[in-house]
Amino acid sequence: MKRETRRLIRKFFSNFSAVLGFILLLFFLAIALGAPYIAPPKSARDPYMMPIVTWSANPLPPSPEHPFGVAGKRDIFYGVIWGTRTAFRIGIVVTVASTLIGLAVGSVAGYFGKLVDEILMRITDIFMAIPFLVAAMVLTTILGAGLDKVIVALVVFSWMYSARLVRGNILQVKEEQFVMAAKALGVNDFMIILRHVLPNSIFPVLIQASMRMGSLVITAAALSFLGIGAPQGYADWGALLNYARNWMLGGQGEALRYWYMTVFPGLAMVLFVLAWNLVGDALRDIFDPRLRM
Amino acid sequence: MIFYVLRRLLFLPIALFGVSLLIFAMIGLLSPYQRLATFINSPERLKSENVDKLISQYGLDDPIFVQYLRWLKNVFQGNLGWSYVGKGPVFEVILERFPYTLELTIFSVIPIIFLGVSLGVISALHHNKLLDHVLRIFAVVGWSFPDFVFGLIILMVFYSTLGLFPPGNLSVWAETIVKSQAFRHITGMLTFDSLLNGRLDIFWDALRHLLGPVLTLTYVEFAFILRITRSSMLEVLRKDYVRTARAKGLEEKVVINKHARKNALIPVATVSGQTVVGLLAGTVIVETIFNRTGLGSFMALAAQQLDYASIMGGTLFFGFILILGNLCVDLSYAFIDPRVRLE
Amino acid sequence: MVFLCLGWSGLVFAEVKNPDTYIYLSTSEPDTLDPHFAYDTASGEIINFVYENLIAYKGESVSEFVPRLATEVPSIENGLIKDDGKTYIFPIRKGVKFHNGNDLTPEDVEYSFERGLLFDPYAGPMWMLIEALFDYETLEDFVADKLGVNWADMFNEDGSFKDEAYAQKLIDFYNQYIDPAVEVEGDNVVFHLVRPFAPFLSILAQNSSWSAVLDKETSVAMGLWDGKAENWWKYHNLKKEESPLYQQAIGTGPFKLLEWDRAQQKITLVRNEDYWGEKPKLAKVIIWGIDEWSTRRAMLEAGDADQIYTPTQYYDQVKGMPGVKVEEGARITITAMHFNWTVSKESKYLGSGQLDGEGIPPDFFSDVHVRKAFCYAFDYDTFIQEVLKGFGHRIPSVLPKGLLGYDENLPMYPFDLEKAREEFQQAWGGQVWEKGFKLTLLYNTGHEARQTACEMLKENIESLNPKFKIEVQGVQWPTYLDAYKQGQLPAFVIGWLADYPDPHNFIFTYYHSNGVYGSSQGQAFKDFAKANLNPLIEEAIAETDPAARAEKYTEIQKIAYENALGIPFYQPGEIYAMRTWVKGWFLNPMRPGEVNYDGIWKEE
Repeated sequence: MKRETRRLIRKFFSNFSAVLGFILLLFFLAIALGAPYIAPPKSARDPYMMPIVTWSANPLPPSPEHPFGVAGKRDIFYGVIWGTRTAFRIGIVVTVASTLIGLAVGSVAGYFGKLVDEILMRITDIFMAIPFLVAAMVLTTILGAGLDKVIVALVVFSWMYSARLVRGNILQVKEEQFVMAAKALGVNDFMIILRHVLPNSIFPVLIQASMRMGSLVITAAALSFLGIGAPQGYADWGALLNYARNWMLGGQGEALRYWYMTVFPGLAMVLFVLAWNLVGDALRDIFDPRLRM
Repeated sequence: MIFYVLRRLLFLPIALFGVSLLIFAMIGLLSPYQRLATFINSPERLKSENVDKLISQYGLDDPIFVQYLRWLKNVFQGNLGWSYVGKGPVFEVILERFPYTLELTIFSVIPIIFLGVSLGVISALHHNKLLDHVLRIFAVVGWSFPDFVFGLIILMVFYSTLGLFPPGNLSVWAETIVKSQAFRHITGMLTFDSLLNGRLDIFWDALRHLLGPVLTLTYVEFAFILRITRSSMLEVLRKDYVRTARAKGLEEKVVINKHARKNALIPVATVSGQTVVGLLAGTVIVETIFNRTGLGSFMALAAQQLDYASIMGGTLFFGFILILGNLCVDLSYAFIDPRVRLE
Repeated sequence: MVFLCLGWSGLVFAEVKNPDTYIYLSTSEPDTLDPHFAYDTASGEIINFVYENLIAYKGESVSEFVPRLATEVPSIENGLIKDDGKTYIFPIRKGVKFHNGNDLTPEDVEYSFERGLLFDPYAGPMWMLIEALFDYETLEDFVADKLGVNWADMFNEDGSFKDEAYAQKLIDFYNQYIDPAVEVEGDNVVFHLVRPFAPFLSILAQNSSWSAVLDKETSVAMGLWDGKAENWWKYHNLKKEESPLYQQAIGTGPFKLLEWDRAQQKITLVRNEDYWGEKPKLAKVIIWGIDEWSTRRAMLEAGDADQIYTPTQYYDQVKGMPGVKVEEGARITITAMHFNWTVSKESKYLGSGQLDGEGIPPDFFSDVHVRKAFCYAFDYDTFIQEVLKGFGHRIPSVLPKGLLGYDENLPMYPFDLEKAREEFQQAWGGQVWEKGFKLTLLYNTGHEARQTACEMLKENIESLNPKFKIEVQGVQWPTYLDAYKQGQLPAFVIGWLADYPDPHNFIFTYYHSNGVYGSSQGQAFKDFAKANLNPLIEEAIAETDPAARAEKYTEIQKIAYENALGIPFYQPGEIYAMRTWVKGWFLNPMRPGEVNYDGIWKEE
């Protein structure tokens, strides 16, 4: 096992994109952890709320006190730094929660098959048939404002994809010899799932999860666009880009006059999603046994 | 196979019932005042006594299951209710708007697949070399832009600066013709209808208005196809029959074109189906920015204003399309790849 | 290829695009075209040019009138106002045709008003005419008072009567009260009011869509009330979509409704070639609802739109735009924050509900020191300069500039954090200062100015004492409505646009215990109002001498100031971005839309 691991790690680092992605992720992690030092919060109560630095709605270009400029009355630099934490938070919580739910539902459905499978998969179909944005909007109106409510909405309407993936994999693995052997030996079903089936079907799930980390940030931005999403003033890249929405065409003859509103949060988002995608791609390249040649 | 299709189709009404129940239950968790909001246009001028009277008038104070049953009864009679957002009967309003979304989807899927496949193949052929990395990063950058940002950039560059892709469905002069008696509406989609009416000038005008949103959707979505093509191609290139072809001394070009590509495209075909289905449900942002008619912006507005008739009707409609779409995708998967068994 | 396109678009810029069509981009579309239902400016804009009223405002004035469908404006001098202001006589113009060719007769006028009074939908504007003519708030109140039974109690679920005797009583009600209120006498239409009502002419003037004139024949043919006393109750309070006038409009106005494209939120009007007056220079008008600012702005820049709705915060984007000019103006509207003196106990916005540092008690704002502290804590001038970009000004109370009784010399609270601190220290016997408090201010998402006002109050008040905590939350409209109507908001920022240019419309709304906003300020406020404000407000409207009225309104405003009844934030200005080829534009503050389509034209 050890040699295998070392081989995998070496393979990972020999891939340029993988290394790039990995470095980017480390960079973002460093920023997220160091946020209180890089951009010290003004309010003791809620460091995630970007401080208001001006009353005018006009954006202000980068300056020594506001290195990335000011948008929506708030400091963009602060927003980008603390937004890193928000991005990780949304990504990790939603991915972990929906993957766990998906795993539970998918493995039970895949393993037991027949009626259980049918019912669970039909429930999954029903959830999948609802247009996500509509459901998210109605749900957040009920639950109220706040990032945690948005996270709930995201989890409730995204576990299905993990479930289907897991179920599909389990259907394959179920027919493998070692599972049949375990069954013949009389091993308890739950143990079979936990110790034999899951570990062998986990890789696609992990890969999907890593992709999702990135795409969730984009979905959250789309929700901000539609008026739900993080509360006003919350440090979130999507919210910052939403401020840019009404100024993007520029003013007074210069189309790119307010470039900083888009570039800084946009760059953060692009690099973050890129990082997860490159890492996810690399993971697939390594773990897929068929590409071993 | 027939049995499988029938079984899935039989599930459709049950699924729709489940969907409607789920959404209505969510809406039912809201207070009558919140649900009243859609019926009032000037809320600040509303007097308190009138609020309660209005709630009674619209039956919002009845228990939730009573309201649901009322809605269900109407549905069986063919009446989906009145849409306040669309200002008309729900079904009519949806049917008016759906062709626009469909048109946008069709015109976007073609470049997405074309671009994704061709670049994906190139990427695979240059596996892990510079071109591969560049193409992949180019694609992923597109995917990681929220589509409203990219859409606004397109609007700025191609419309504000170059005057090329205007927002809206048609120019004023074209619209006058389309709305006149002389123009026959067959599919409801402006591009196809204008061709069927023999009006090439309107066709070009409609196309011009489509290009902004199509460009946005293409750049934002093609990464997925590229990735699938690339990994599938990589897998195929390592297969035995490809090695055999090479060993036989065939030119590389022939190896790729005749043997590898066709088989690599199998998973792409199914993923394309998913992309179509995904696009149909996800055009709201592009429709808002480019001010196009469509089901996406309609649903978003309905959800924002809690116009429950529109929400229920719309989710039923979408549910119908999505379930049918997924069925087609699953069927095509079985059809294209003979190794797959349907259960 | 790129250069060709650039060159081509450059050429287009030199000429006027679509020379006889005006394209205006707004943010919303009309609610309904039924004049007796519509209460929003988008609907009013359309109704205003398709239908006509008896009289109209003169140019930009809101106090002088000119005749429209009437041939004279009634006044005491020309004898058309009689009985100390209880009778108004309007001679009706001859030779006017409706869009479908029917002639205008005095019967059409009588029918229009009576239909509106009987229709009186719940959320509609007819209360103004009902108040003016009969001194009741709604038709159902009127009926309940005269018949002694509530409207809802007369009917079963399916609409039939619980007691057949009610039918005759309702017929009698119509014959006794409604019919005589509006009568045809020869070529005149006569209105009989139960008591003099100073703003009556304003309620009737063009721009008040509820006083529009319909064609009786066409309306009856469409399925509206047939004009008879029998069964009139069947036409009362229909739902919006059930009214035949929802999407149709046959009026006498300078423009005809060609089409309402609901899929694109677009209304198209065409010139009425048989208009009795001066025909518009434009042949076609397109009013298009486009919610996204950047899209509207891009279209104006390209010349694909002639004028767009421009929120003042985007002034810097349109200033200096080539081919575009920016006009300024103001409407009769104000924005203020008012307090709820008795918040509902179920409210989630009270924190702990006690004065323990983690919340506020429900009657927190009933202490005048708390309210005064809030008044001192708002930086009015910075707000107007920075947030409104200088487009707006302060007002002493809820009464806007331009109306009778407005006096800029009345006392106003300055921005003074020291005084705010003092007031907080005196509030609730010093407990507020000692223990601190926590409350939530809500605003409706999408309203940037209101959001900033709440944020400004939060910053300033929290800076006084670390124990003061104010949370500012943005919620979607339905949630806001819910909290507001259930009395759960401790304070709310709310604006009012004049229904008619008279002080009564504002003072009654905010300060009377039955006013739309007055009634939302808690039981304790209602008691205060009944004792101190209601009598004055009612006297002021019954008074006919303008000088005496002005005095009363001054007294009311002084009471409002001394008791810090609310924080009047600002009276906003507006900007209107349009292409330089637009000529003949002017603003009347009472006009619901931004454009006078009947007077403008396009040329370079």
